[in-house]
Amino acid sequence: MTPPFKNRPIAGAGLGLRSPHYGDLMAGAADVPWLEVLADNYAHGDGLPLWHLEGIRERYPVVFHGVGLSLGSADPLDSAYLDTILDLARRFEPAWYSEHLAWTASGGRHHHELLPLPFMEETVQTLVDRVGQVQDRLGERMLVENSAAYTAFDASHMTEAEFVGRVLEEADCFLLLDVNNLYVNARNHAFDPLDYLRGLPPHRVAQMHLAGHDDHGHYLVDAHGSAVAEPVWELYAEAARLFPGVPVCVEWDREVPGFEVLVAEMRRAGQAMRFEEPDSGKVTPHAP
Amino acid sequence: MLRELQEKFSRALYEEESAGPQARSLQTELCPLPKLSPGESIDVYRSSVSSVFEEALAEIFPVCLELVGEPCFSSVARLYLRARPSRHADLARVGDEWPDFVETLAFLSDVAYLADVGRLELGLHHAHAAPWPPPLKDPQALGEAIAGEPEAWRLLLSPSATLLASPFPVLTLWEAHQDRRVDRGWKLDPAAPGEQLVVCRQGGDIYADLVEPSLWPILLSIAAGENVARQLELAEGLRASSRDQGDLNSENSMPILTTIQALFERGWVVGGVSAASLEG
Repeated sequence: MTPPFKNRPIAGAGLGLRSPHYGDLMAGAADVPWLEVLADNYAHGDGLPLWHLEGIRERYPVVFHGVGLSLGSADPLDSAYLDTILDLARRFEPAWYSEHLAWTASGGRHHHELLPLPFMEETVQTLVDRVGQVQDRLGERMLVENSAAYTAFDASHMTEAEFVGRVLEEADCFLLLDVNNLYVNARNHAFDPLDYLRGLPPHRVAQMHLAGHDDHGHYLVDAHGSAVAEPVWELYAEAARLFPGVPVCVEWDREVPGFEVLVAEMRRAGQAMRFEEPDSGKVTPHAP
Repeated sequence: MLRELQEKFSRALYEEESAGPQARSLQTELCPLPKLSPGESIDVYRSSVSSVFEEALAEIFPVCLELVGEPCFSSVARLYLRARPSRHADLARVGDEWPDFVETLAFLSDVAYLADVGRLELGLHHAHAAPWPPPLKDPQALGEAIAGEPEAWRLLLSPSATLLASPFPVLTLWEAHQDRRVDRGWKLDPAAPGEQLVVCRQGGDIYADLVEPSLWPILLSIAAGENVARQLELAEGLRASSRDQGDLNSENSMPILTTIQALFERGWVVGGVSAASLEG
């Protein structure tokens, strides 16, 4: 099997690609080292979005991120959707592909929302099986992202950290650690996010996410519509210390601001990660 | 157990009332969070799913939203969400059945043109993502081949093209929203005739154009996959009809091959296929 993904230099802090910024990126308005492409935005037809992505891809290394695979669903894997992602991957050669530890469809109905999973043995085995299917098709290992959850199940019999760790080890995949999701869950579920971070296998952490959340007073929602909150920056500083050199991406999906705002967040992330070049001999960026 | 939990969760997401029987059934499977009860948790997800759909529909149908206003648009979106489950992982397809759905809603009968404005906007949305075929290698040779054997050739509509015949002046209405004439008091003339139009993309330009009545049956014939000989017959029939109606200019109407060339230039037609060869 020929792996569709090629290893590309993904290092430092990058940005989530959003269409309002195509012009700035094509004009080289800032030094953006890499971009995270939401593959679902390019899975519809073969028109202008792909034309834009071709231009972007000529200039920037990219990774693929997905929201529609419904990895945690009890339904069979959507092979037509996966085929589309693989076709895109062959064409644009992202360094890697990531998806969420969540489900978005059941009984053939798509909810287009990342829904929560019970942390139980059956869920671990479902994910291990499905991640395995995806990795077989990809020809290499993928990343899975910890998701925000606004509920908990009676059926859960392990912590989120234990659950994520089990999936990573048994599926032999990598983690996209979403620091904002971790913070949101820690607040909503009242656990110590530092314990969570310290419990993760460092060799499995391959990328991180930063984003803003909405504060509804008695709970937080991972909304991607504002700047990264200060407590998330603080948590990220600890994550960057524990997982040195792991590339980080700033996401912003709603009320997308001007390019310069995103670039400022990206630069702050880059400074906070205390990234050192791989040839310094001190720190080697993690990459799947 | 995972399947049962997910089915239960799904049913609670689309239940009409927020604390209905499906939600109450799901609550028995959930633990309270320190500051969020199971019922509130379910509402967070219900609201989020609803918002995702509403925002996706509002992005596809911005003029429809303006025509009915946000509260009505949101109500229709929620009805649509329950009545027409999304069957694709691709959120861009979420509006595919929306125009047909709004046509079934009796309370929207005073905006009877809404469905056709929706079809126009859906056409624009699909044109954005539709492929643009490479230019013809030799348009003149293709034209000559078609002229020599019209019964063997079929013309190909652009993959981005949507044909829309409406009893309402939908393009005029849509354009009045684009240039904000509606904000300066523009009103739809209830006696204005309907419009036939093509939505299409040519390179990076997505546009909707009115189609002159003489071209419309020809376009429909091309869309139906009929051969060029049939389009010649239609053109001849239209000319004869014009002559019968005393149109002194009918003899000067465009010959069919000139018409086909014009269709290529407008980007509505992008190639031709014959049993023996493939062009375009």
